Amino acid sequence: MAEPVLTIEHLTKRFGDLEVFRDISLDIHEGEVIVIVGPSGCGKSTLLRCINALEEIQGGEIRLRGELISKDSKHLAEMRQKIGMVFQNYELFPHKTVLDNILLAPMKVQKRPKNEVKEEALSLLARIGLEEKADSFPRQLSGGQKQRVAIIRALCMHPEILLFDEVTAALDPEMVREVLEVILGLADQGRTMVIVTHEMQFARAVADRIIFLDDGGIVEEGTPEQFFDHPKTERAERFLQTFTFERKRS
Amino acid sequence: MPDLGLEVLLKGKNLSRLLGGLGVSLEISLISVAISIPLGVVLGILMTWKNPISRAITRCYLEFVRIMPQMVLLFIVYFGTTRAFGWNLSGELSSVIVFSVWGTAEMGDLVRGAVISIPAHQYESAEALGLTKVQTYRYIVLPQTVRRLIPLSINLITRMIKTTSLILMIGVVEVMKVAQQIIEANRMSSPNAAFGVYLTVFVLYFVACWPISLLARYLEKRWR
Repeated sequence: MAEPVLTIEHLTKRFGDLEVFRDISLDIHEGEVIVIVGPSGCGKSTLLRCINALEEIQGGEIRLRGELISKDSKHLAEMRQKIGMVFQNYELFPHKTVLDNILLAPMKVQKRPKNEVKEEALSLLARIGLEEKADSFPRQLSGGQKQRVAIIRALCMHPEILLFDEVTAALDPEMVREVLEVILGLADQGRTMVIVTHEMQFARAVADRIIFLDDGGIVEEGTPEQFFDHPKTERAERFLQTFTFERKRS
Repeated sequence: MPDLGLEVLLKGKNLSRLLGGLGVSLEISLISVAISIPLGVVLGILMTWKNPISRAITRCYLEFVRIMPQMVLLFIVYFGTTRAFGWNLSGELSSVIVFSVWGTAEMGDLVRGAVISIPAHQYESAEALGLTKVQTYRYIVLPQTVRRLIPLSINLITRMIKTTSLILMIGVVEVMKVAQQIIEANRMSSPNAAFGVYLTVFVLYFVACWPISLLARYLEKRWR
């Protein structure tokens, strides 16, 4: 098998005395879609934030194509360009139009010519049906639209890997689908992605591999079919039960 | 129609004297604002630092200046320093000192509020896109801070203009003092002048402050 895109080795993370991860290791390969699930508070989002060095880590190593990602690294800003991240709270820059939100980093960070980036941005916006919103401000968009723009903004940096941190958790139910469909489309294009989500149907559809995180470690990993239909551990089984409802009628 | 004593304004140079008084008020306010804004920006940024010493000092300064009525500050600087240190400060200079001290405190608090109101997510989103610290401040944090700040600091100007009506108490001949002088001088010939003259003062303040607050409201709406 080819070299993994991202490797996590013996990752340890603590918040003060609270141990979030104990010795986590994970390889992510080109074109692979990983979905991380687990009970709330198990550190799913923290894991993504560690990959992007938004959190300090207390032990272990995270490498992107063999290069170390660390908060102390001089190349951190450079490394982060190769990692696209979309957050739960659609954080577009409110003082910039949709187009300027997308153009900012490619132009200022990567120093690419405006025409080229603009053309790319507009064609990506057109693909998700938002080309007429290019000159709108974020406050004029719905939550789902903002989140789709945030995805385009990350894509325009041509990242090697995309991280999605509960991108639909703050959305109204009817807007969840439009966002998830964009992500499904990216999976079809063979993008390498790590997704944290609470949408189990979606996880099943999009994932190549499910990682079940609990109690500071990876409890279980496998294909969606293995994990959802035949969980190996009791903990995973209990977790999955929280998503099904049954009324006990006497 | 009752006699409002407006004819007094047409006597001699009374109207132009009143306008001159307004000029003194505006001059003192604008000089003080020009000093307060840069100092307030520095104070506000110091207030957002986590350092406990800078926090304690700036906090004390803010509370002290804001709790003290401006009149008391004026009296301390104008009368107090003469007795205690033998300084012979003019009324105008004392006013500029007091309004700058007060304006710096108010501006500092506005700056602090604007800086901390930028959510942590804005910094993180910028960093995640690969922007450096400097780029994050330049393109993301500062533009948003300034937009929040400009309407608020314009409002501070109008507050300052209004508060200059106190400085007649330390002998500065500004618009209120001129008004009093005109009324006094015409006590016999136009005993009703008080209403008309103060009404004119009211209109003058209004004409000076209204466009400024309109501008603030316009900018606030535009940059919402």
